[in-house]
Amino acid sequence: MLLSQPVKLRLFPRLFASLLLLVSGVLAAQEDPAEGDVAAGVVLTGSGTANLMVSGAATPLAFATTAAGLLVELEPIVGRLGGRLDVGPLRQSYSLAIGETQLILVPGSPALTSGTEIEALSQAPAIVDGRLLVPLELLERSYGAQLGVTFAWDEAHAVLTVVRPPQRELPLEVGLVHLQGVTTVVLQFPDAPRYRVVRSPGVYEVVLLGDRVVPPPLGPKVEDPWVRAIEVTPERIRLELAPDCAAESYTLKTPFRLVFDVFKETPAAAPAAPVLPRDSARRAVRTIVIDPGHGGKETGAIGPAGSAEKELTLLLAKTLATRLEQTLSVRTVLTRSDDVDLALDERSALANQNKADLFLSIHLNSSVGRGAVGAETYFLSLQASDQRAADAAAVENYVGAAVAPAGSDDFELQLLLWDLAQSQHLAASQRLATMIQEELNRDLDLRDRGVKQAPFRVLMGAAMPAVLVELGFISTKEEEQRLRTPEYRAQLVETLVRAVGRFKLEYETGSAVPAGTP
Amino acid sequence: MKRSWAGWAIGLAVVVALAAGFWLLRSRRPAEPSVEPLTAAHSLPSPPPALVPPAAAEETWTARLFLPAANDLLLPQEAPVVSASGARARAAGVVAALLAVAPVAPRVPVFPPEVKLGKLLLLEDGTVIVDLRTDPVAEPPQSGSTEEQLRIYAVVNTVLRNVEEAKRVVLLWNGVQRPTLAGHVDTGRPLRLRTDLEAS
Repeated sequence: MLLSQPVKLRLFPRLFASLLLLVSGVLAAQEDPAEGDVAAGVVLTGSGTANLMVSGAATPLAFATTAAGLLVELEPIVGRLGGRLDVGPLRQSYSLAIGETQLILVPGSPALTSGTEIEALSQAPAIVDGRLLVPLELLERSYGAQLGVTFAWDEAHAVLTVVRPPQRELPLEVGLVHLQGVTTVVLQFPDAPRYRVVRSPGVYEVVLLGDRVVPPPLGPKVEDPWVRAIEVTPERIRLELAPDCAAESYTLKTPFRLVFDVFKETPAAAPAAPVLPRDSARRAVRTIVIDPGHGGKETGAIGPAGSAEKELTLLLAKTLATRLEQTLSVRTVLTRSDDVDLALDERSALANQNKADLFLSIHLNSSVGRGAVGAETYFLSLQASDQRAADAAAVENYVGAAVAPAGSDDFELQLLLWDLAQSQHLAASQRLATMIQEELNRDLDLRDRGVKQAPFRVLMGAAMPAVLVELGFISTKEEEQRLRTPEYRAQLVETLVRAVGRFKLEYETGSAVPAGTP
Repeated sequence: MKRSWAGWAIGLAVVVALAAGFWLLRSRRPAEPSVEPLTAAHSLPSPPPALVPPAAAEETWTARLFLPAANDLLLPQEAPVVSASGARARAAGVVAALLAVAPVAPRVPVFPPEVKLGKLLLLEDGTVIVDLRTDPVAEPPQSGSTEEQLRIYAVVNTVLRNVEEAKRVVLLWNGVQRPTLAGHVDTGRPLRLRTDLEAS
């Protein structure tokens, strides 16, 4: 052994802890939910068949117990309470759709995702005898939150009863504000109500489930270009929107608020082949987080004339933010606006906190060769999962750059918490990378180095389409000189704006937008 | 006379016995009054079960080292390696050779000369832990992503291409597993072969 003894003493416990985590993560991730028997790492202390009681009628369902608690079969519950259960495109996860809400769960992983929200369950779902078993906590967070029901487990008789809790009277406060083309409607309650949102053209209804609303004394007064009326009854809150408007909802805690962002929908482009998933096509790009690479002690690459990557990326990012706001009417957030140290994980976390719809990390490259030139755009590679990424891309029916060939070993497919977040957006990330590269090739006299995949840390945590753009080689004298001129940087920025504009249009309408579209 | 001889004999026996006792006592007393020096047996925890025991016999073999090249790809270069015959020793030998070899143009060195192999472990599941050290302790070289990828995967690909038992590589820098070396590639988890970086 080559290390000194004190180093060994420090190193071994760390190594073993890391390896334990790795191995448990890997075992969990390698389980195929459709084929496996028992999810790795789950030690059953008991199992059998129970009865699911809903409105007095019984349905058999499998259950199992572990040291962490009870697991019950999900499929019969979906059959009785409604919803849809599907195996995910990567065959690593399941999606549970209940009304408008879609939850992603992974056997062996305690991570539960809903849109961009990720929560940790106290116990991971598991595959037992080919059936998906989930903890009661997951049922409460899904069906409980959506239908206002609770679940009671009678261990002695092996009966799971779906219970409707007593009704609550919840006072409501309504707030409404219109800023920068978006109307925000805030419905505030003293406690989280049980509700679901029902959408129909021009109307969004919040239907209370077992609870009742106490309407505000004077009723909400509405004078707004996008929201025509808000009607409140004890059973529901109805938002009537202006023509061609749509809304997205999300919740805030302490106190509980249900928020609707209402905006004018982008007119649909001419019919064309769909290139992005249908789910994505319903989304809007309103917030873009721009990440100037490096900063503080991390200078990034240094050019022959002494230019630091961190300085030029900051200049590029600031101009890009301004131009995106001016051109596309989006909100932009810079991960850093000064020369400061900022951890990579904090950058993607900032994007998640801001509920960003896109994440662009701006970098300049360096080469060991002297004459390297050109731009390249990266999206995340989960390594060895490239085939799975390709499968996902194929499932989602989109056209883009080729994906690197797969390795035979699935070791790296750990589906750790944040990997899972970005893996949901790989197809869109690849599409964005392709558009950026196309525009750079078309507009600028740059060598096309293509769209690439790499396990870049800054992309891993992003729960939205995310790319890293290398806009040129600062290590090459000529490119460094060009990058130092504001005119050339402005050209690069305009190209990026055009690419993001294309992506935004395609993302929001679901129709292909060809290169060069202004 | 007889009594006199007997007296001498008894006296001599007592002296010999005392001398032997004194010598015995001295020989049992520790030479230094300080704490016993640490030995491997004292300082090491019980050997971790995941470690592959190193083999002893030395061998000379030809390794295929992957070095960064001016075309931003990894180019192979053959070099002799002397190592013990076990997989761990082969992996250590090949990394040491990669760091020490004189590159043939257009190849360039992977790291500056002060970067050496500190420690290398091979775990039973095929994970190789490579600890790169600098003397004096220094931060990893700053670079753009292309250069960083070539540096990292020069080590990763060289190990994985030359040691059959190796399946993945964990990189440490001065004993610490960092999120990245230069702000791009995630070194916080095991790394696998990147064939796309190798010159075809």
